Amino acid sequence: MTKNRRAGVLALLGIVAVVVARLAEPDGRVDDLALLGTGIVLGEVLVLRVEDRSAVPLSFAVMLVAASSFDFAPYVLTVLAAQLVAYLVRVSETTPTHRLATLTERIAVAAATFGAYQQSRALLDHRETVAAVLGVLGATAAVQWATDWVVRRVLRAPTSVGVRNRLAWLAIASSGILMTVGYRGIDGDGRLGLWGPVLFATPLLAAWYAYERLDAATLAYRQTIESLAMAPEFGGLVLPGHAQRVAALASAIGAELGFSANEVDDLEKAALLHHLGQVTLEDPEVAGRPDPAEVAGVTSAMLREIRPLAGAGRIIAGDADDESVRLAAAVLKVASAYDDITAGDGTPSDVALETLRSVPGYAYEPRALVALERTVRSRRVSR
Amino acid sequence: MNPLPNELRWFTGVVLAAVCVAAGVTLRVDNPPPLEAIVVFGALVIFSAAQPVHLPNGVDLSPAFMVCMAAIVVFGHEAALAGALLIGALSGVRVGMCNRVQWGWVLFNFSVAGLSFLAAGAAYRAATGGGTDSLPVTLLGTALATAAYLVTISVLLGASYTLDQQRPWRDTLAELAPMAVQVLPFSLLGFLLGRLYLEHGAAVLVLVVVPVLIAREMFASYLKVKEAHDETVQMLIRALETKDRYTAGHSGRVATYARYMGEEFMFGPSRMERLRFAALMHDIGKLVVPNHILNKPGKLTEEEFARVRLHERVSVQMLSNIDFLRPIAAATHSDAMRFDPDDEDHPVEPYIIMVADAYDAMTSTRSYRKALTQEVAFKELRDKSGTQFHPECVEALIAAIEKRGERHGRGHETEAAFADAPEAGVGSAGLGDLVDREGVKP
Repeated sequence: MTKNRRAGVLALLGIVAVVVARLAEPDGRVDDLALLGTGIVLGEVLVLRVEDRSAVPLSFAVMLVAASSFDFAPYVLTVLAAQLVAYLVRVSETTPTHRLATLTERIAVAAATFGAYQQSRALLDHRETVAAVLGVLGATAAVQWATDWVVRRVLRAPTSVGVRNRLAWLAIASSGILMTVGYRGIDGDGRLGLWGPVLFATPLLAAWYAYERLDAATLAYRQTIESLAMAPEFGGLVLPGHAQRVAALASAIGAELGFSANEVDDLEKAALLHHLGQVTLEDPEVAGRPDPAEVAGVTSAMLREIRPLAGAGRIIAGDADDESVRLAAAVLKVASAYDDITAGDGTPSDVALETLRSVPGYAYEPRALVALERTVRSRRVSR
Repeated sequence: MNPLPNELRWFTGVVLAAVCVAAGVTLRVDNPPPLEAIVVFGALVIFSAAQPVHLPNGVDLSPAFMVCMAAIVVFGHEAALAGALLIGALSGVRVGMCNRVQWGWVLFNFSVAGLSFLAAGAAYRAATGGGTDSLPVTLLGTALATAAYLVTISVLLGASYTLDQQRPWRDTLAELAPMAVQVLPFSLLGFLLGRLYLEHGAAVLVLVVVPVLIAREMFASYLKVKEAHDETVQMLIRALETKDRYTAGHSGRVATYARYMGEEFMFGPSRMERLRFAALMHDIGKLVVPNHILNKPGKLTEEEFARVRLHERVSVQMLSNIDFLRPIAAATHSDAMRFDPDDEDHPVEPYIIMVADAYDAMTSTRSYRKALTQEVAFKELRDKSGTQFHPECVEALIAAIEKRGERHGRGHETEAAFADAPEAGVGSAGLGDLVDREGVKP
């Protein structure tokens, strides 16, 4: 069953549960709880996917609505029941450990949401203080942005949280408050009841849709480049897996040297495609092994014509005026040479590093060599 | 962007005059809208209009429509007309366009948007007749206002395109049709935004605007990645094809023919996109076959033929590495694939690409033979239809090409003529009957 179909079935079951609850107990609030529970389950299926293949579930926004309007016992029961259903829904797609970890994380977030809301309830329930609360939230977001910016641009270090991730949390938080406002109103005014969370989920669903499309497009683009990168090895022109290994190593070295996300991205693409031009050259069986400079020249000329790959093309050419491009080119050269030595006949990494260091005439950029050494060491430790 | 053409100056003048007359009438009928709401929504609409997303179909989508609908809901029954006219007209103003060259376009957008939203305001006013602001009535009013807006702007834009580009009215309307669908979620959001403002004041609007702007940002990134993907594949394939002068442009043409067939089959946009990439990359494995075999004139030895066949297997393997193409790749049997009428679950895409590939192979000159004429190619497709080719694909391609009045094949090739290529038979699969097939499996 596809994910969308599964969400559709869950939504239908939820509607049935809400109707049954309303019929069984016309005056109670069980139907509201059933609706919010359905929202949490759906929110577990619909997630905002962010850069590092992790995801922020929409259910966090629904939990805020539930925490705002129910006492501890019904809140806990609803969240636990919904999370158990979500746990069962996930059975087919992940490992047991992963599912348990997710469940634990969700319950922790649910507890934190309840605690936080109980503390700030007095503020959010009054017209005069809502603007102040929103102002504080806005200020928090602004401070996070500023910190990220300083870390990336001034300190030139990779940030632990990407932009897409920050925005995902911001969308969830603001939509959670919005849905709460719709459900219970402010100061008792503008209360929409059940319709509130449903209607006010629209902006969040729009964001979800955009995140989904972006994720699918990014994945498709990535896989296309990785697939194209394998052309030289299918032709027997390079060692199997060379492009992939060099790409992983080069981007690790780039991160070690404090490259920005875009620079690492260009470097990775350059590493993946740095032999591609070779397939257009004369067959090595006929013409002999081609000159590496010629391969680089052909490849970079080809890539520089293509706007999204122009940065990668400049790195492969390596003769730019720009210092950061020259450094990236040096990293690519070092990573590729290292892989040629270690992958060919299983030469140990120490020997390979020593070989690269002892090449006469500063053939390899010292900074790139040092970063390579550090990257290789830290990899060995982590293994 | 060019300055406003002369034909449209008259048009803009007329619409602008209509807007002025409407403004005069409106101010007599309506109460003046509240100042605070004008400031809030005026600022919001100018900000939103400056954040458009350029859709591939040429339409600019911005959250401005949402803000205008919100303004209509906020101004309500008493001031719907004046408010709609004012905020709507402002939504046509793009700050970046206010320079001398584009001044005409700003006026054009200003008056067209103003008049369209005036219609929306009138519809809202009519729907909320008794001045009620209950949820169902205002929701109905918003739906009617959206419909009125769509009708008015379609008529105005349709008229202006017809004047400007001398195109039939129907084509323009078909082009504007997707806009109706794209506008709907923004209409609902606008309604919510308006209700929130009425209930809780301006501060709460942030809660709607933030997620909408984030959605907009992500959607813009998505379009950018998609464009980069498209450009990368198209340009890389073109660059790699230069290694074989006979097949330069082949993948692009196969993608075009595949699109023709996809349109005949009424594929949706995502299916069309998948078909396009699969068609562009169907020959990717050819990269691994050495040049001297690809460019060899005359017959291939058995071993060379096997190597050429290998490229098809590699193509399938490379496409299988890309998730969204896997359903097509998985259904492509690399060796001697043929149409199988009994396999009803088989996706049609590989058959489409097969027909497109064969048609282009026949109608372009290869190292081993000159291009065939279009008539011969059509006849060959029809002869093998049902045995080698999917009959519906064959008929779809022929119908699409005849509908467009296009000519391919000998005498109509876009690439330079290859005088040294030999005359030869049909060879519909490209290589087919050139090889002595006794030793090769049938």
